[in-house]
Amino acid sequence: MTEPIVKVEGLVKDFGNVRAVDDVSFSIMPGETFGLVGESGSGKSTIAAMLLCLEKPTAGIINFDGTRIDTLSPRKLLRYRRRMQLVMQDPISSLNRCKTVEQIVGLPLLVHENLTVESRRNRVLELLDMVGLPGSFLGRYPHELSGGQCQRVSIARSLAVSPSFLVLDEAVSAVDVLTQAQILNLLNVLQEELGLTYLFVSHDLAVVRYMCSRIAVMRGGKILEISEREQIFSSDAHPYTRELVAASPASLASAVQDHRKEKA
Amino acid sequence: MDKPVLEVRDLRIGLRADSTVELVHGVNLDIVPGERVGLVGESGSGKSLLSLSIMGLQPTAIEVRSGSIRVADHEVVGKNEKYLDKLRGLTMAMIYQDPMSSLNPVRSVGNQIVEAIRAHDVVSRVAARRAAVDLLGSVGVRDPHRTVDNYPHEFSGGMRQRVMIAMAISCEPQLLLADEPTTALDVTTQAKIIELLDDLVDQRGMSVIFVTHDIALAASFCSRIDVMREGEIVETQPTAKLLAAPRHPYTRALLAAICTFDTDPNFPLLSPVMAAGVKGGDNA
Repeated sequence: MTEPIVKVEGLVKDFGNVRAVDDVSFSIMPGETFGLVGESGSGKSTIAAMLLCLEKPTAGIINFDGTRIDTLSPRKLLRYRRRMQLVMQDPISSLNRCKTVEQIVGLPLLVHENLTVESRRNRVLELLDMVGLPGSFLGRYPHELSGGQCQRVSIARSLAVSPSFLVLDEAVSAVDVLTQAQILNLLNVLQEELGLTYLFVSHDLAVVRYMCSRIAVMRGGKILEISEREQIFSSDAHPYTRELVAASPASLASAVQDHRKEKA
Repeated sequence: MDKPVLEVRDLRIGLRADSTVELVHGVNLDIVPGERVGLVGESGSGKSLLSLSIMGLQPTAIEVRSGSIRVADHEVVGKNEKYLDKLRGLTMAMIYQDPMSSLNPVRSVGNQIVEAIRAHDVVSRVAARRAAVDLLGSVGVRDPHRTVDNYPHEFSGGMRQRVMIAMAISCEPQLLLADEPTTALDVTTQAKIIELLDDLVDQRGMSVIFVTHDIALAASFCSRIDVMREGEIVETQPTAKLLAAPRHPYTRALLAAICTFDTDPNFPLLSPVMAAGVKGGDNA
């Protein structure tokens, strides 16, 4: 039996007297895409931040590849940081607009790896190619790129230090459907090629269902249920899960059209 | 045949500073009373420019080069602010994407609605305030007698959008422009706002232009969908027909790109052939 790459037990996070995350436990297996879905304020991004050790949990344990990481010193943590990376929601504001694509994608290499300027540039070119961007983008600045291209740069940056685990926090929520489709396809290809594990955070259940083999539904800081992909439609799914299914534009479209036909 | 609420004829919009840059290329658009038209396209397709120009609110760097926009038989193109102010709110009104930045943070929502009402109607403050409370109630803001004195930051995103809607419909406009009204909200709130708009538009018999990049969302609300791409309307069809038999390859790609609950997770979303057919957007 393979061991989970991420294992979380009894995770709690308080901000002042607000409990943002309330006794959350789950594990993610290597190569899996694990979905975290819920409304804004449900605590999904806070969980993502704690997994990456950007926030300290109030209580609970986070294991990464068999090691407890939430109590590690910053020095020891550095070794683990390169194995888990983050892709954020807003593709434009998450890139430093004063830096070129080469500097942006190369920065993690500067932190984590001791490379010559030339081999760093080659690695950046390799990464750009992986995310489907031409080498001519090296000298460009974020404002010269479209939203989708920025998100590709973000993904290239997150892959720079060859992580095994990626947190995708609403990574496609701010882009158009066509771009979203292409980014989702890219993520699936990269996962297959590089053997990546994803934590896929989103409020759009239709997208989560497409991407994830297992889905955790969150509300008010708690995980209401963790289910296999097609179980979200079953009659014994949590009522809130069914509410999310019904509210998705994907089902809204057919529901409202039916409703209109009835009225007519 | 009903007289159209909106008639856009051969509208061309471009950059003021550079006459060689044209952003909307000769668009025609008709909306009859009670019709709900979805204007769907990617960012940069010109859909927001078109809707802003209808309100006469295009950014200063942008100019309407030629063509005509008639709202309830009133020409909008080339008219001064004073004239447009009489149309805005009364004949046409707009709901914007971001309710937080479109509401005045230092005035109570009640006062902002009162202001909108009194801009067009000679009514007393007391009467306008009573109308504001009624409006807030009709858009589903809880306890409107109390919340009428609240400030925008005291509302959640969904409630703020309801306040915006109350303000937009305060003078019973014939044409409502909704520019990505639910994009900043999460799905459950989005569904509630769409339901609210659906009821309000039915009750008041308004015509609607619903601007969005989400063709599924447009389909849930609109009777007709106009697909915009690179400054042109490439396809116009009743919603059901468009979904069943899209004619333009771009519309087909838009539809294929959507994640639905029937999408097979084992296959890519857009076939490479389709993705290659879509110029612009994300293609690097």
